[in-house]
Order: sequence, then C-alpha cells, then structure tokens
Amino acid sequence: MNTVDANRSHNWFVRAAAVIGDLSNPFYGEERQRDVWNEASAVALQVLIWLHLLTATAAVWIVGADALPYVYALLAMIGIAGWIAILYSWSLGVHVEERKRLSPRRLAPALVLAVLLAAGMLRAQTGHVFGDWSAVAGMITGVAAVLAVFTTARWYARRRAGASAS
Amino acid sequence: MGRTSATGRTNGVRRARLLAELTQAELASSAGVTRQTIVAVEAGDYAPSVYLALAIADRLHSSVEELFGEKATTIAADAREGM
Repeated sequence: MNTVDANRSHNWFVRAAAVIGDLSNPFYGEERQRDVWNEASAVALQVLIWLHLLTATAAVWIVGADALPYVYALLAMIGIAGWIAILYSWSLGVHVEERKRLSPRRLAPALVLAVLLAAGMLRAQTGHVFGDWSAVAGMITGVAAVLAVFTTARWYARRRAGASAS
Repeated sequence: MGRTSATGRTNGVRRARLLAELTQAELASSAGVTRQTIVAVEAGDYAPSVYLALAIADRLHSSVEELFGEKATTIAADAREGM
C-alpha cells in the first residue's frame, strides 16, 4: 500500500509526482522494501544536495566567472528537486520545514557553505566579494523572493490541509 | 535510528511460526512480503504496519495482541535471555 492511495483523490501535482516517481510499481507494495528504499532515497537526496553545493562553491572560488553558468545550473537542479520534495510532502500534510527537523547542528554547516558560495559568486561576478553593491542587492532580493514564495506556498498548503481536514 | 526500526522490541512471531510449523518463506509468501521482511520482524528490527501485522496474525492463527502485545514481548525477551 502506497502513501498515494489510488482510491483517494489527489491533486494533479501529487498524481504527476506519483507517475514520475513510478510509485505504483509493485516494488512499493512490499512495505519494508518501500520503507528501506525511502530511507535510502532520503540519504541519496542529502548526498546529492551536499555534492552540488560543494561542487558549486569550489567551482566559483577555483574557476571564477567562467564557472558561473554551470553553478547556476547546479543550483537550479537542487532547487527544483528540493522544491518538488517539499511540495510533495506539503501536499500530503507533512511539513518537513518544521523547527524540530532543522537541528542547529545540521543547519550550521549548510549556512557556512551557503555564505561561502554566495561570497564566491559575488567575487566571480564582480571581482570583489563586496565590491558591487547592486550584485549584493540582487542577491538579497533573490533570497527575499525565495523566502516569500516559501512562506506563501506553506500558508497555502496549510490552508488546503485545514480545509480537507474539516 | 531509522523509521523502519522497531527499536529492538521483541515479539512472539517466531514462536508462533514454529508452533504453526511454517518456514519463514512460507509465512512470507502467504502474507505477501519477502522472507527478509519476516526475518526483520522476528528479529525486532522492523515494526510492521497494522495491515501486515494483521496478515501475519491471521496466517499464524493468532492475534496482533498475542504476537506484538506486552505479554508476547515479555515472553520473547525471556526466551532470548534463556538462550
């Protein structure tokens, strides 16, 4: 039995995700196989995110401006994959961003890497880490936009979950 | 500790299976899971879903309470210590 029950009506996103993830495959019918594979996939997703971030950070500091298009492509890839995972979870009422899941011990290295990557990208783009304030402003605007989209999507998912629960 | 873990809890599945004179493979086949899953359940490494627990109990002519309840846990733990 899968999380996406064929007898329940799900929104188009969950149905599309189930097709992309091949979730109706008989493999997922065996519950322990499914659980173990889910855990393995979670580990693989974390490893992929870290490898992408490390590669992107190393590329901007070592190669410089020439690496920027590839760095943007790497960030877009992990951004899309991460968003799909979060939206899928939200659609089924699981809020992975809740505070208890984000332990400071796990968050700290990610933040350090994010700062290193942002500084490296600024340096590659402008020649100085903080030399071009328009680039800094653009980066801040980008982060604010991502946070705004995240907050809005979270609010919408909670409202939707509340409506289906009542 | 992983989600699939049963936190080391023991249960009465192995005892009931031996009483029913079934192999792990036979129980697995009739419950619709792999033998490895039965091995993991018996070892207390995997907490089955309520549906699988019901299927196992049905095949062993027992109940979920008898197989996974407090009493079964205590008996299985005592049997292990006696090994």
